[in-house]
Amino acid sequence: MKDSVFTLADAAGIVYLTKDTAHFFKEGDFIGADIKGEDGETTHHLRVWLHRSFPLDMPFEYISVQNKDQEELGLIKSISDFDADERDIITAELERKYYTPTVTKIITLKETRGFSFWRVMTDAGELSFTLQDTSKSIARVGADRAFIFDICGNRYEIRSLSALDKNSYRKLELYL
Amino acid sequence: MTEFDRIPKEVFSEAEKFGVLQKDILFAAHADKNPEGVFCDNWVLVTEDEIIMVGGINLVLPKENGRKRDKQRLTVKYSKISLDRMDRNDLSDFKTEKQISGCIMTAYNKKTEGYCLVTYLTCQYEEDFQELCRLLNNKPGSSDEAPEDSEGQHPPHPNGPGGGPPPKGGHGPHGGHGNHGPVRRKKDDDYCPKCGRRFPDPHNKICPHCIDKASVVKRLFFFARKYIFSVIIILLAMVAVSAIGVVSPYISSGFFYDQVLTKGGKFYGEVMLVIFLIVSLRIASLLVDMVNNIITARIVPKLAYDMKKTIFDSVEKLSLGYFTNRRTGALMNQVTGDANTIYWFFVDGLPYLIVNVLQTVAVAVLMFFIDWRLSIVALIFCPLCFWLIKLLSLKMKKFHAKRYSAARSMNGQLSDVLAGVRVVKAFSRERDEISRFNQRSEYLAETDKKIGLFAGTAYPGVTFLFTLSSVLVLGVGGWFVIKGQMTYGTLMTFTAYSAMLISPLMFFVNITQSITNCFNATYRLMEVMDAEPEVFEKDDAQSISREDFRGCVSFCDVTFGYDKTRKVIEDVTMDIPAGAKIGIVGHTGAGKSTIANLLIRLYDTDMGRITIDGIDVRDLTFDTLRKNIAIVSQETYLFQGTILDNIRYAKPEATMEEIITASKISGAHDFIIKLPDGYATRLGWGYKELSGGERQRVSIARAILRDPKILILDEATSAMDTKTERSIQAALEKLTQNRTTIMIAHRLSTLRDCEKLFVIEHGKVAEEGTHRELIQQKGIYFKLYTLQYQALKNAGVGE
Repeated sequence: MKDSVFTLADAAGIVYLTKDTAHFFKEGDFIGADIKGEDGETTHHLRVWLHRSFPLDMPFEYISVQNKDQEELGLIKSISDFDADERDIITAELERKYYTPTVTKIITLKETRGFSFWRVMTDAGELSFTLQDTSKSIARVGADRAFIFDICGNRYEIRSLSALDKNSYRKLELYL
Repeated sequence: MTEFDRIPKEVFSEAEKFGVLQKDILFAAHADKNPEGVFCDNWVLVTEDEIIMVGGINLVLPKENGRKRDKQRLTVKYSKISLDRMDRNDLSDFKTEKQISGCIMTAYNKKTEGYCLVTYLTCQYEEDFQELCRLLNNKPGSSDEAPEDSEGQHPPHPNGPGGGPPPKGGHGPHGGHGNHGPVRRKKDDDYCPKCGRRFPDPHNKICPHCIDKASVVKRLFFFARKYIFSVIIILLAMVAVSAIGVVSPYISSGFFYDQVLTKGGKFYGEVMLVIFLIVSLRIASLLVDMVNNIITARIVPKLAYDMKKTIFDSVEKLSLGYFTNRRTGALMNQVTGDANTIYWFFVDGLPYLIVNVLQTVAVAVLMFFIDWRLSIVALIFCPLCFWLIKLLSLKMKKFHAKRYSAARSMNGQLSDVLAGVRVVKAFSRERDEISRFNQRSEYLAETDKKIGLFAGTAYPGVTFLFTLSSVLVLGVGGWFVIKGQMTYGTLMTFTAYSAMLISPLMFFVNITQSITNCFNATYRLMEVMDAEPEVFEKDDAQSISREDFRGCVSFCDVTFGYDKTRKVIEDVTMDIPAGAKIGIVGHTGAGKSTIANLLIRLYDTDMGRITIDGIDVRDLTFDTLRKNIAIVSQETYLFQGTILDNIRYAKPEATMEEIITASKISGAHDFIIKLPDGYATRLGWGYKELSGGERQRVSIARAILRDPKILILDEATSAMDTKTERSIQAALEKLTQNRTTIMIAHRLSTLRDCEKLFVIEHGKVAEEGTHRELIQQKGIYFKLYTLQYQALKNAGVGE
């Protein structure tokens, strides 16, 4: 072996997928992929699972592609490394998996005995859900964003707290 | 799975469009989400060879505002949106898959050779769908196939009439209370019987909508029932105090001015009499008050003690699962706070509430009795003031909540940075931490300023309103006096009375919050107290005497998951003969520790059984289990107290000699005697902190002291260097003869002396055998071994 200095990247041995090494296609309701390994051989995967590394800040960069045994096949550095139609397939799959209703307005918020009952307007229409231990179920992300986790484990998002109307914010304020 | 009678009849009639009759439906489940994430009511109906999906909306409008809650929920109408069918024979490998928000159900379609998405749902129904998937995958041995349903499996129904129009008429209305619903789990108890809503937490069958206040109050006073006599005395004393409080102003103003100071009064000139009356009233009030305080001081701490004892008892009884559950885990932290809330309500709230109510009512009645016109003048501002105070305290509450969270975030950061000071310094992030702290501190100061400003301006404003009302009373009353419609004394009595209304008013505003808090606290405590331990001792549990306990352990098809949606171990079968020394190896998170937790019954298996000497652990008494099995787990917890206390925790009656023996075997003795205080060294906050390896040795000593028949060492020596580990193992070697020993480790050198090894991978027993056999198999164990051996060799150890 040469006496060259190993970089961190060498040590990690991450495989970055590009349009030369990977091809994504729609398979049934999900997404499959042909991925060329280091040995140059292509493996056909009937279904691959996509995970965002930075779901909040970089939803379309550093996407981990995993097989059904949850082994990482490679990392998509940015979906712009792929052609438009594959990009659309990847985007659609990600959007479906990471879909989180966005709360745009709080219609009613009632708290009784440790539970709070919410009726909200979201981008998906009107929803209602229940939280236990309200203030702990609302997680702020950064200064202006928040996630709400309901009692069964569903999550909802508030994209911008400051963009909420005054009445909604007032209802929420106590728990932030 | 769903009760068939919960399915709207329209769903059945939609299914009939495909020629599927209600009686053909084998299972059904309710999904509540559509692809756009909107809540809806979709039904997945499964027949012998079809899966039918009816998508729609069930307009369920429970009466929210009605005074009396409707017993039944009002289903307005089910309107269909979509209808779809899939051939069941094309599909296989049904699965639920968690998404970021909610779940999906997927299946493999043989026809199209791809995976397809069957339906969307929220996490609430995940368990239902897991069961549905299990049924669909037709996996035998699923635990809860309709235990209550005597009809059992329904014989397959050839789809007779086919696509022809189904018989209409009398059949239409769904009269069948699931009469034809063959396979389903009875989950009726997941729904509140009163309002039909699903319980937010299925493990705690409490519907927050329907919990009635009466039962909470009843529960609250349940604690007080022992002291009923004292409570009656206290109540009487309060009545007396209120009565004296009402009479006093009359004596010192009305009576004094009109009867004593005015010529022609009945007691004109008898100042001494008034003085005497006032003093004796004061003394009477003082005495009653003292009696009251003495009794209160005696019973309230007892009451609080009772309450805390009850809570702690019920908390300790609960299974470990209750504590590890995220939601209830948070609940536990509130327990002490809640007990205090209730305590203070009894000490500081309730007595004053009673006195104030009695006094206010009496005063108001008297005022009207004296002069109704003036009463109206005096009381006119009351509602306004009440409303204003209410508004202010709401606003104040918000300020305080903000202040609380600001203070918490500042303190949190402070303790975080102090605890992690090494890391901060190592990465030289001091400046950033300082600025972060300043930011939060500044915010706290800002909220404090706001509170100060608000309190300093708003409250004097309200006080001014009160002053205004008393000035008004004086003005109108003065006019009455001049006109001769009222005596001077009466006016004085009246002003004294109206002044008495101010403080109760303030009190009532604040007490509402206190009452709500107390209710919530009681409710939460009730939740903890009513929670049923999942792992419980059977009434007819057997015990095995120490002499007869052999320690033969066997796992038979054991499946378990901490939450029902994720299996940690699956179909584990292991036979451990009495006295054997076995090892369990596997990757981190493979489920090794879970096996230990199940054996000592911190949790119960979901499926399969674990036996000791041929008896199911669920049929053994806790005492038998705990006395004969000792575990040294990964997380070594030492209580505050001395090292001696900690070792002796396993066997309080142990002699010093036994303790030293146990410590010697575990290798703890050698380091303990080097400490200045020896075994009397205090551990915990502000005292000596032991290193990881030392802690492990102390906890091994604790386990050994119990002299168990089964010893489980779960990574018990992981924090020690190899040399210390070897020396402890040498000492343990003698001890482990004739004792069943289960060693869990991922460092293979720890397990080199084991008679048999079990390799756990992804929750399953992947390989088993002796070291030699496993090496020959060249499987997972071989890989692990070569990896670790290679590492040692590279480090120059293995040569």
